[in-house]
Amino acid sequence: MISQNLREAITAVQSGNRDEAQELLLALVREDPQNEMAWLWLSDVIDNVDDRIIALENAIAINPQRVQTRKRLAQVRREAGVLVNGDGDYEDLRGWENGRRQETYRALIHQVQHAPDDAAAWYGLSQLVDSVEDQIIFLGRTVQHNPSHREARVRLTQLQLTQDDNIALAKAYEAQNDLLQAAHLYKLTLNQVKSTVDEAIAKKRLRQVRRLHHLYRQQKFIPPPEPEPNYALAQGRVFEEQGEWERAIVAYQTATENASTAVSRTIAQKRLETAVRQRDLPPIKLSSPTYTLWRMSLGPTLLYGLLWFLHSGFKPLSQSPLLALGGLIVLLGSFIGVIVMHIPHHTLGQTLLGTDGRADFITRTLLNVLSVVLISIPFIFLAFNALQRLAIYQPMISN
Amino acid sequence: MFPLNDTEPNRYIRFPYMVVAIIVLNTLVLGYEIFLLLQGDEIYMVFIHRFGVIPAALLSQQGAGALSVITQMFIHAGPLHLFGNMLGLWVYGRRVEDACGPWRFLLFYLTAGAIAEIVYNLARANSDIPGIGASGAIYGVMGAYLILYPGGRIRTLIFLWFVPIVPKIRAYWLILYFFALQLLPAADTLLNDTHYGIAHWAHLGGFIGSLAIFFFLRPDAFHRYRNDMAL
Repeated sequence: MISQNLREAITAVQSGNRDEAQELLLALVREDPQNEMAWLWLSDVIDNVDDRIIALENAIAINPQRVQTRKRLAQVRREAGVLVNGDGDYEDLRGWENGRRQETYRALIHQVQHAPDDAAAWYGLSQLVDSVEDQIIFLGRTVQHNPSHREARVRLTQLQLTQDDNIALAKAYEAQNDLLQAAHLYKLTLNQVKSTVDEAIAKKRLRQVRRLHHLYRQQKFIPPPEPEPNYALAQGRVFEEQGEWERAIVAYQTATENASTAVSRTIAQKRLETAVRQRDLPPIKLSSPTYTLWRMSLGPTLLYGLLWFLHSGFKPLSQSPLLALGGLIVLLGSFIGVIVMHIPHHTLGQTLLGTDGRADFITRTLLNVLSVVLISIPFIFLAFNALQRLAIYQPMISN
Repeated sequence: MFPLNDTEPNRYIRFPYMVVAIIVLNTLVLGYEIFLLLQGDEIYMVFIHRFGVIPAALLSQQGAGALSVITQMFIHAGPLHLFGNMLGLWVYGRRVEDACGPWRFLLFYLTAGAIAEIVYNLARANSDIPGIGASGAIYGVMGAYLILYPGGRIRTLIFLWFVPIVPKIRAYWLILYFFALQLLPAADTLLNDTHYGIAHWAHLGGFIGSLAIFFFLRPDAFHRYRNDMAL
């Protein structure tokens, strides 16, 4: 039976009054330390991770049979582990590959909330989210806090170039007061403008963003106040993370209708458009690294094969077997070249270059040189054979 | 009808280095040919016979074989021949290079040229006339453009009587027009052994060679193509 005080505390939690809820729940557990529900709700409203662990441990001590509490405690402990070990190396957070994507995501979100300048955490987030726009935003933060992060910079540029709707994205940055990123995207749009309308919009917005940035630097520009919490918007994001597009769409529609500010309405509309587009998209077909490796390696080999075929006068079996062996060498060289240069690396590449694909400069250079040499040797051999034939050739010139 | 420029922007690289390098190399080779011509007709003809492709010699394993297949792509019969081919390369090659990357574009260019030569040599097996020019490879690049950017808009110079106009024409109309232009002369060459002075079968072979583009596309471009996304 839920007491009146606990009911009040739950109402306070649900209406967002965390401080009030915390006071009520602390009073409850002081009065009745065996109140399992009070400990559970308390674990939700306190921010300190150690305190949350204690609250959950108390709840388990009272009712060891409740599986959800155990799961929750395990999750919070994992989060705590991240925070303790969060020295900038998040390689161990690849847990999402083993099905712990949501936990890792929450842990990283928690980390960037507490340490917004942690570039490694932003980069980790960029690898976890599916939406290209979110990836761009997280990679932008990574580069902002660690300008020497080469992989983030390269990936960011690639994504920005593949975005068809840079203007919409730039407007989203503007809405978040990230004026430098917005200006960068407007400039990018101007450089690869696809229509006069885009050009006109980009020029106009770029002028506006530059003006705002100038005022901001002179401390004359006061960013608009944070929008009031829009729970439907937050709810939509959660549904979106879980891939529940229909529910996300309903939530975003509600958020658009109930938005208290123009900024939150814009964000909700933008998210709504993305969710609708995602829902209507056919499943994306991705090429596996092995498929890409074969596809790209076969190109130079095909060229060599064609030249060998022509060189033999369409009778390849009449040629030296060494020329046929050349095709295999070209294939091997192409394999090595694609493995080293193509990112993300194939598992074979991880064997050669280490699991993170970051081999030292000398190893990488040696492999690149080996690849070029292996590809070139058969072509040079073929050319040498052709020159030998040419030396004894007497053309019959007819006028 | 002269295609002048592709009006669409690049996605990956700003400048088509390899297209420009090929144009420069072809121009230098033409300069060398003019130098040889000034030395005497015979020297020039020996050069053409040694580095052009003669089907009869190629099929009997005489001459430079594979090497001549490559060299003939860089030899032209005069400034107009060069200009026509290089204009085509500039118009269609820029964005195909963008989708491949410079070095893979070069490999594709040579592959398309080699496939064009196979088709040409099969169709004209007994010919002892040397074939020169980059047109087979350039038709390969045109075919690749049609595969990758069928809706691309090409600024084209057209003369309505004597009035020049420069509309933007969709790539599929323009390239299919050039493809259709090859069909009758190619059939005539095969059936009646007529000599046009133009290797129409190499052009058709280039179109077949354009299918090899999928081996040379950069991963992201290939991914976008498979998912019907704009390249």
